[in-house]
Amino acid sequence: MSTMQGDELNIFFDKLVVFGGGSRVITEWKDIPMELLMRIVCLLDDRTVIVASGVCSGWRDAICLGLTHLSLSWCTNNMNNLVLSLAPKFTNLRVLNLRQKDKPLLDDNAVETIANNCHDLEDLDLSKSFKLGDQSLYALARGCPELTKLNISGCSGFSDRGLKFLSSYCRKLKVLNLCGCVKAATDKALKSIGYNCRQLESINLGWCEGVGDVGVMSLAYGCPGLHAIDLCGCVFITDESVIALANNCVHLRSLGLYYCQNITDRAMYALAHSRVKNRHEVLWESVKTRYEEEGLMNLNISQCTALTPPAVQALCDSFPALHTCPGRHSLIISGCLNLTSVHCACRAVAPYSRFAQV
Amino acid sequence: MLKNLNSKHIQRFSYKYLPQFPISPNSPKLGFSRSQIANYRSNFPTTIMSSSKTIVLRSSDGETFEVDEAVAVESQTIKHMIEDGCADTSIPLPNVTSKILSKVIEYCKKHVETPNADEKVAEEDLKSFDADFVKVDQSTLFDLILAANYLNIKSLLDLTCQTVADMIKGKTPEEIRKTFNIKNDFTPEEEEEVRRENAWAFE
Repeated sequence: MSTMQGDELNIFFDKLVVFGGGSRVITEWKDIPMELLMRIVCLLDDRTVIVASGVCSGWRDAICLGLTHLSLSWCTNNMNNLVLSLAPKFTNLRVLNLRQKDKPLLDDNAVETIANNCHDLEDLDLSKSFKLGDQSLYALARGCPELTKLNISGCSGFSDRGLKFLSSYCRKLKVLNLCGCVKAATDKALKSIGYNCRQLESINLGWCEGVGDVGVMSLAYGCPGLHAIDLCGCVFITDESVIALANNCVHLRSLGLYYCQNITDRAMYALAHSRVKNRHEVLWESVKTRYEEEGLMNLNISQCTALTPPAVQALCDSFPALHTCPGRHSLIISGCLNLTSVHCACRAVAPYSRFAQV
Repeated sequence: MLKNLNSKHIQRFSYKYLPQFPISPNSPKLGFSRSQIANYRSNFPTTIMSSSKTIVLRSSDGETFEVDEAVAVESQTIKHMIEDGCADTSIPLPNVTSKILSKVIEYCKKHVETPNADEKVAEEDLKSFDADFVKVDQSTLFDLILAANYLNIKSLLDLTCQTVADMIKGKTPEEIRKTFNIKNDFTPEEEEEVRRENAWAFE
């Protein structure tokens, strides 16, 4: 409601006000108040919403004013055309899902149209848009400063220049998915993100082979609120990154190090010790939450073959939320044959079995 | 628990819970304000204090309907009017005709009478009542939505909106216009745009 302009507000109120027995009584479906039409539209799927906006001008105006969430990921062929046609009308969109299924459908001109019209956009999913280039990122930077969630996984056409530019304008980013953006997620771009996007909470850098310690350390120092970081397949990461994350990101809950084969026990001990060191910083939160609910809840160290059981066991002991038991499997160590003796506290069923596997 | 109260209980506990005389500004714990009494009454239907009251509702065309207070307060609008003390004579509802008001009252009565869906039979019964309730022409349905919105009856509003949504699903714009008696007021260019968008949405 706060995004409406002056005369639109007047139209809205005119439609709402009903005078008893007078000439302004609403009797026709075309004059249905915007809030009521939106209540009905919320119960419809996205394709039907588009159909409903083509019924009459009253419905179209109400839907264009009131629609905040739209998904076009179901489109098989014409997503680009639909975006070009709908974005200039649905200007109050806040959440837009343009995830592509099999083939890349979006062009840069579609993203530019979105950026030119939907200035309140907060959540945008452009995953698997192979055809997009940096032009789209420049446009988004200029047009959508309110972005908090951005998913550009699989968009291999973006480069780090575009991502740097975006991060310097979209400073409210909280969730960023760069999985597979090999050209875009480099240390240069991560430095810019760490410097500009201070409220970042979750970042996915899966399979971004250009990521190194410098980049991850910039994120750790710049984004203290980080609670989820996925570095699967970032093969050049060493212990320095994990130590920086352990020391600076006190709210870390989820860490993915799949295939980071340079990680050694040093990183594990650093994570375990950070729990103790950071206790007084999270003291007030621990008053609200239980001990078990803080600290790492998900850790993926599959294929980190340099790790040894004592280090990982120390980690498991420090973070009660890490489980190896089948029901709540959150410490993932597949491919590390030497770590099979590591157990979470729940598996204290047969303590003698631990000694037996020495 | 309150259903099992007898006179012995009232004698034992009345000294604690009923206001004692004289009520003075210095003994706040022993006195009750009007809103406290209203709140207490609305929370405990079988209360020591009094039995159910009836409310008079007046539609836009002057017809009056007398309903139990428990039925009337299904509408949050009416509930607030009663709490604010505007319900002494009758409550005027200038936006609701008698035809629609009688239907709304029928809906509220049924939903108040049916116990809280604990038994499957009661739940099924209510569901079939709701399904039949919305089998009306589109003009009445429209008035019901506006009335439910004005009177702030969430369950009726949800029911009617879902009905309309189900009537819209699976139809083309022209079919929707026919169902709801809406005139196509687009310019030829806008009409062309609508046609294109619908084609893209279904390819």
